[in-house]
Amino acid sequence: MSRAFDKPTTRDDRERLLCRRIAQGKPGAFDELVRGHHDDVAQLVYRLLAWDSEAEEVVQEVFLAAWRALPRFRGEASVSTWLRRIAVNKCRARKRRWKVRNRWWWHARLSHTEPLQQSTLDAALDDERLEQVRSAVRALPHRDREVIVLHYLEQKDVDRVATELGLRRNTVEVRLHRARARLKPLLEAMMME
Amino acid sequence: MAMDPLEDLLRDVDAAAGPGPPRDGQLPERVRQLDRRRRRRKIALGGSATAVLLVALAVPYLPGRRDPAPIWPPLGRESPSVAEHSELPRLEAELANLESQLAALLATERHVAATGQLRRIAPPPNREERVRRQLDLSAATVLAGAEVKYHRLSLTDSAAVDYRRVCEMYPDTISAETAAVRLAEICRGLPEEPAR
Repeated sequence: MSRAFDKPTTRDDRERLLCRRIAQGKPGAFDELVRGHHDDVAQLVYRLLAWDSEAEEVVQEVFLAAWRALPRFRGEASVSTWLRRIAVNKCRARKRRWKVRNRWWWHARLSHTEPLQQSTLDAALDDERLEQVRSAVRALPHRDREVIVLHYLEQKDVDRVATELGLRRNTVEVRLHRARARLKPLLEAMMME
Repeated sequence: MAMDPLEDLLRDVDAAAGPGPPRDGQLPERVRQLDRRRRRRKIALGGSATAVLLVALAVPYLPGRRDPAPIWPPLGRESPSVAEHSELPRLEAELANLESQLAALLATERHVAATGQLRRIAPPPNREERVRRQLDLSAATVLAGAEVKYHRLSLTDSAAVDYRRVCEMYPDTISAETAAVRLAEICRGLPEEPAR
């Protein structure tokens, strides 16, 4: 009778087998990892950076960090959770680098960010509204933005957010509350329009 | 549809922003190349830093760099004036006087040092007292050994030999008196005083 874990049945088992193959240096294994998780990681990074165009570079950094850390991966968490944690850390590091640069340069970058859409007047007004929201999200402290993105856009419950960020549930709730409070004036202004 | 207006707003922005950076088929290879390049750069930087450090540490020890070149007075100095000429004999005499004083001081210091050594080696004025004390100490040492043999180890014959030695070699000492008493005890076979 074959042992249960000889044939990977769940997604996590398949992923762990994949990581083992990568740690052993099997050709094509890392490519398979990137193929399987690129979209998830890219979307998360894009959202965490407030839909910034630098997301592509950060995604590359995430997979580079994963490539280097794979031999040390112990399998305590799922591969996707592990990759997402790397993504969160890389976004934090990127945010710190932005802060170190001149603030005026950062604001200049904001103005040079690609517009969301090119369209008619109504749509242009919508674009402006959305751009305001985007700027407001970008202006949030990165720790508050993380919980906003994971909770509202990634549709994770508070416990799952806490697990991914390595925080306690209370801390996540506090940050959510704080982020909502910061975004509330914007929301009220838009509701009045 | 979500009831939270904030969530609706965020979703609208997210939808308008699009799905994020598209998948790139070259990404895995690019990651591997980037890793190799950064490792090489790290090794090169580390090697350069080590080389610079080694050179910086070795520079003071390079031959010919220990002593800086002496700064000589410029050639073609003006010849001394007449006033300076008349001062020269006086200054030379003063210099000779100072040198002789210095030599005398050094000789005195050497003499004092040598005298101190001699005093340490030579016997002190109360030499007899020191000799007597040394004899007492030696006698007491032999006596102590004899006492141990007699009282604790019951080696009477060996103790008697030691007692006799004390009496013969150190006759005018207190230890000799004690040794004589012990010898008398041994000869009679009875202790005259309780053993300590």
